Amino acid sequence: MQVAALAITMSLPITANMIVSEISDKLQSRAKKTPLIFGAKGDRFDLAINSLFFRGAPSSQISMLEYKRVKNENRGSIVPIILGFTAKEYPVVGTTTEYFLERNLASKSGTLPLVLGDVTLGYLCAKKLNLKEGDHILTDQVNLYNLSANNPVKLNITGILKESKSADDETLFVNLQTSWLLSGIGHGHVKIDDKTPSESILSKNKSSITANASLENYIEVTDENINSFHFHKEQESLPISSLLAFPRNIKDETILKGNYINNKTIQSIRPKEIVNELLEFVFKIKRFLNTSFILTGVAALLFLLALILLSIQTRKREIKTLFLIGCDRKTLALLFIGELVILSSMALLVSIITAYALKGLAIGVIV
Amino acid sequence: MENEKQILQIEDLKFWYPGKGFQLEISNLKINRGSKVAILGKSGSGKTTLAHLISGILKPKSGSIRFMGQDITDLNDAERRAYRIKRIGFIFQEFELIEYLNVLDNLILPYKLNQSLSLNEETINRAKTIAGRIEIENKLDKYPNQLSGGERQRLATARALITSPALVIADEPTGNLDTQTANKVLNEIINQSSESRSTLLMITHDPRLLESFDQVIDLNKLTNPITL
Repeated sequence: MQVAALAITMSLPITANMIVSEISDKLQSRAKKTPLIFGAKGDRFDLAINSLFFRGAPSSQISMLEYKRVKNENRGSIVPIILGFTAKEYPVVGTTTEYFLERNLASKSGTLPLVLGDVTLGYLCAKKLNLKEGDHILTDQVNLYNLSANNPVKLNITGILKESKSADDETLFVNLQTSWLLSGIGHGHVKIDDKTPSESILSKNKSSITANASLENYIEVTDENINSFHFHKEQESLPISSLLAFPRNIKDETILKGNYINNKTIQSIRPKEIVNELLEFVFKIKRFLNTSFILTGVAALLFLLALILLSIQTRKREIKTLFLIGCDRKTLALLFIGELVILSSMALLVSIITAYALKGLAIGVIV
Repeated sequence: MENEKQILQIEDLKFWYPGKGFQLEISNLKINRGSKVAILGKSGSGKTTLAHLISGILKPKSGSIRFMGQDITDLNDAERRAYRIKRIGFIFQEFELIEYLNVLDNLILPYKLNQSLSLNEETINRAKTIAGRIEIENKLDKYPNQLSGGERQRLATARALITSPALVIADEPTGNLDTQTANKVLNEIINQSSESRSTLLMITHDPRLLESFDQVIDLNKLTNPITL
């Protein structure tokens, strides 16, 4: 019981420090590997965290035109990403093949998502969902009660990525066109022409025929229907959530960032700075927690002292017996110190094991 | 010659605890080798104090205690401890076995606690022989709480005698026992002491047991001098 009490007391500060340490390492590592992020003006923390870890989507978006403008600066690799969709609660991220090059992501099997309707799964996604190449996965319905919301789309799994021990392991990747399909900007359906049944037609004139809502959209892209898919927007106005920029060198990075300081619609951020700002807040909390843990530690030490005094008190007769049989005071003291060392060591071992177990649980939930 | 027969001689001994009204004074006390001596007295009369003085735990304020010809009052703490280890065996009222040690370890405890006594194969074998004599040889790996009351008492007595001490001090080993059981315990202690040729000094407040003793020191009727 003494060991358990001490172990619990010691495991709390150990766990807290381990969790904070691991989270900050993960955040900083991801941020360091992404020199710049471009996105719509607004909350920079939102932009950084969403773009780095794919949790949700930025509240505002930029356009393909703005993507091309940044890309045409020719200062390095500019990778667009589209966020805001999920499948089985895992984020579905639309991007280009450059993303995989910049993140050093390789296929474990199959291919990257090159075609409309294809999806490549992150390592842990495939493992947890027990999916493999050739299987299909349905995207999540955004709002069950919104009749006008886009239908889920059945994606074709074309590949599985190797483990990267990053947020990419729990992400599904599609190309940009597939993301626009998921957003409802694009769709596919049977050809509308003079042969289309009248009950499916909303209006008809010399130059165009408009179908009504009874015309069903395809929810799966196949070899047979892929050519029917189209987008009802100009390419340049198609939305992008954010751009990950990988400049060639520091000079290019500085110029690229500098060019958008005063831009009215786009902001550029250094993820490393944003994450450090966030972590400073976390470390403040950690410092506060450490102070409270110090107090807990003092309480634990006092508890230990009380245990020792109680032990001596209850074992007075044993001590007297040992003394009378011939044990010297030094040996008696060593006996008690030895017991204390063993108890404390056991408590420390149990607390470290507990801390690792709690950390594993907490990290799985938090990150 | 007479001195060679005596194992213990106390002369002009005075002892008191500072701040307490109690004082022990013994002008002359002699105990022969191999005898059985009872120290009788009511609670607070100084029985345990006298036992502690004889065993070297306490040092008298004045006077001398000669044990086997050596004045132990001249010894320092370490020397008195060494004397106690080699010459004195203790039997306690509640036996005071160490509950987390098995029977064998309890039996050889004096050897385990004192580097001056060598714990070797011979000692272990002797311990096993003693265990056989006191009929607990099949329980060497058991723990005290697995023994009967009689086995615990025999074990505690054997532990006190395993080093073949010249003097065994039994501090009220029959306290709280009925007469029949007390006699049984007393006989066991006397038998084992006789077998190891130790002098027995037993502290008791029970006058019913005095028949078995060669000498009685009655602290209730302390007179000056106390002699045989």
